[in-house]
Amino acid sequence: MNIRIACAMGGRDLALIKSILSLQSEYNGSQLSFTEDTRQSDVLVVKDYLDDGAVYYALNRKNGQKTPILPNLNPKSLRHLFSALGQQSLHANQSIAAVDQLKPFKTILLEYMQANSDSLMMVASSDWCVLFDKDNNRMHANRKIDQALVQALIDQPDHDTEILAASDPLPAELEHSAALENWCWQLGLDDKTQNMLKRLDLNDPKFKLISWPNFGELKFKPEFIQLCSGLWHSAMTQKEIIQHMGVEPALLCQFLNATLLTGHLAMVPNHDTDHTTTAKPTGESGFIFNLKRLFGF
Amino acid sequence: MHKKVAFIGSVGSGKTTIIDNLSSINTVNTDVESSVDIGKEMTTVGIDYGHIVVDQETTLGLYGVPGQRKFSFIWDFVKDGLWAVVILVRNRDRESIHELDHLLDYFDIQQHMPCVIGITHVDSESGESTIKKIKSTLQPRGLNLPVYTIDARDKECANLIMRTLIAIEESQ
Repeated sequence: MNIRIACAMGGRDLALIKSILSLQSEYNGSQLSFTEDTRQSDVLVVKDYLDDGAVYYALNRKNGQKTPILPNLNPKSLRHLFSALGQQSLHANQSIAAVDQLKPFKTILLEYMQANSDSLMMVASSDWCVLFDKDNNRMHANRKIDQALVQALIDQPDHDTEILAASDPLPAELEHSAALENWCWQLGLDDKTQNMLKRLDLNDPKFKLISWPNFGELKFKPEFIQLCSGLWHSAMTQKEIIQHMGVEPALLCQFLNATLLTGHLAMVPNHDTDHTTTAKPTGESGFIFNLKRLFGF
Repeated sequence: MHKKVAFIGSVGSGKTTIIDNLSSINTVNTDVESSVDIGKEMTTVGIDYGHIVVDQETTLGLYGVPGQRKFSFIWDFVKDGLWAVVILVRNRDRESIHELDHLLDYFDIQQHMPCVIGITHVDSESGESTIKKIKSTLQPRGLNLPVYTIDARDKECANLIMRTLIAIEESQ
């Protein structure tokens, strides 16, 4: 079994993980390797910065399982983690779980975009056919990719969904094409509800930013920038985000829907023993306070 | 108090333009006529300087410095007291993408220092391949920096960069 490990940190933490893997890469019959691309990893090692320090954990991108790394990131705790990962059945070669036809389209799309596979996903009905290729950031369809197609995807429950290998040739009739990330982002942005989040299997998950959206190209609200920065720093639940950052719930839904659908945000299981992120103490420096005022925060 | 933001990039990457968009004063630049065809009439041969008056006691200096390694002696002028770094990369400019590694080393860009990378001149060509190349430089360092495609002439893009730097500083 091959397991790709990525790290969301730099410096000493990154060097340590790479070093341990270079010394020993086989654990309990599984071959572990390091990948630089966090979005293509099977397991992501993450650090959350808290008021009283930091916590490390490993996030299994396949099944969403979270494994704390205790007491901190050191050679012994890393070997312990890798040994545990090697024992787990990651099913790295398994295709995305059979699609539940009863799931709404957005939930199916979310699961596809969050999975670390490079597979293609085809969604079709009697009238239309759409192929999603997240590895190449493209979507292809047999008709114009417009609002009517979006509505058809969302409204029609009896479509067929099929997962294809990345090497499969594109069907010839899919002559219309668009950038997938922009399309998914707009789909998420247009949704101010929690409907997609409610269909997720995780109970009150935390959210962690794993890559910055390109706000030079994607539509955004000013609060999105602070949300990205905050969620890069620490994973938070929706409640913690609202308490900590004072964001309107509807706006937060737009942000979560858009960043989840584009794979910029990962979901982290929320365990009762986890630290709760508390509001930062007030009294920010005058420099930042005045700079924020100048730039319209 | 005087804090600094360095705008670093190769010739024609948009440093002077962005500083013009942000500065409270007329930008002090060292522009001369280009002696070779670089796609524009004037070019900067030293440092651009502008500043933002933050309050009665504080200014934020905006320093535009060339990004090529041969001008690293100029980087020394801005390194002390640096609050944030903005790296500007001209779309599909192989040299400036190549220099990125050295810049990240020299300025010791870690996750805690506010830093944004802006890709300019994406008008007619997609910036996607440049974004990929930049991210492939950042990933081995474990750096997850904002990488934006921007138009240096657009004041809203300049504001986007500043808001991002502020948000990163605030979350530390």
